[in-house]
Amino acid sequence: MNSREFCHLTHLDEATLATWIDAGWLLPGQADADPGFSDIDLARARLISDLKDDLGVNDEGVSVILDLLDQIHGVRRTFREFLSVVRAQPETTRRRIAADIRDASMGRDME
Amino acid sequence: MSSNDPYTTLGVKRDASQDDIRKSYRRLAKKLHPDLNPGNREAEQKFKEVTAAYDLLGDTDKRARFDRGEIDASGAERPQHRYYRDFADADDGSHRYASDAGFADFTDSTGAEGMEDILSELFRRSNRRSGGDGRGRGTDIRYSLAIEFLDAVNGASKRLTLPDGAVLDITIPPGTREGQVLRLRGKGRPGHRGTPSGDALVEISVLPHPYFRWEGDDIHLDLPVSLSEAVLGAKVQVPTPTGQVTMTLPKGANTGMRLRLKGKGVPRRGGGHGNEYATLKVMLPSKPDPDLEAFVSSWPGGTYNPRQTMER
Repeated sequence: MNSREFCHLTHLDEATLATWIDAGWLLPGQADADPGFSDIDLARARLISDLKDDLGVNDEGVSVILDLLDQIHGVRRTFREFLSVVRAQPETTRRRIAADIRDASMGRDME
Repeated sequence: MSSNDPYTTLGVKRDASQDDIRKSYRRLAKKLHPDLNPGNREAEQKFKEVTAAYDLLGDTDKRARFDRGEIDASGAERPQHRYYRDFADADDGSHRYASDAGFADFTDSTGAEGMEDILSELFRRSNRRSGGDGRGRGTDIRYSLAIEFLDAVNGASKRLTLPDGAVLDITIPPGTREGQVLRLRGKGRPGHRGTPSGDALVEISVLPHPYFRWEGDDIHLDLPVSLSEAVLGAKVQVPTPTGQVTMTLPKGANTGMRLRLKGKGVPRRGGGHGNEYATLKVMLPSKPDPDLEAFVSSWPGGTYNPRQTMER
């Protein structure tokens, strides 16, 4: 969808949308083939509205929260991939990894 | 014509006015009305869809609730709100906001061996998916740079001129190894709309030196000495990466003898330096010397056999 439709759905005005994009909070598609804004942008804009309006987070706070959220999702994605590979290992390998993780965390507790 | 999105069904944009919606409905209704299309079952089905869409969008209250996602296209209450995490945490995770920054440091050279390979493989996979352009950050650019041996040992500043005419100033830290990759933050391709630029990754290759050799933290060289220096001992000038130093040859120094110059090697990452090792090579004069011949003929020590152990 284009920015006018996007503004309509999110109840934002174009100027506010522009500042959000300048702040790097929203990254609409650039390519011609890309429809500009998609459902993920819509959901992200609603999240930003929730943060600012309902939770009283200021602009700096929004940047920090979005950055950390993006990192968390990146870590979750990588960890999920990692686990799917571990799960695909033979039983003995999985048991050994589980035992090593247990040992590693026990060693940490003793420090 | 999709029955899922009433805007599509009516052929209007999401920000269309109520007037536009009504006009569009009337135009379609005239075309599709069953009484005007006797025997056309498809038109009847489409007419139902268009009417249902207009029931929703023609009513400003219902339209607003639909736009907010509170009700679906059939007017039924939506069971749940779709949160950002539902998109951001979708299985493939390939979207513009995806970030690897939370564990980017895991793949630095300090990472445990093996683990680094696993993580860099995961990195590569996630980069492939998001087109090498996670969360709009500019892509990294790789360069290779060959530097002089002594610049690698002592450190230097280099200026790399890029094909597009831009210049890249690179600080080579002392003790830069062959194959080491220097990361210049923000010197890759620019991001778009305020997102950070990628990094320039410069892979270093170290050119060979005419007489220094680099092994671990140490510098090795073969040091030619004259016969008289070897026999009588002497103070000789020895090149090191930081300049000439004076070294004392003991009396009776011999080919293969290795002398250590402490702290004259390569700077270590954690501080301190390796050593330089000079391996002596006793050299006779390059041209035959009649005086030396005469002297050696009359020298009683000529019976010494250095190949004794080989002949046993």
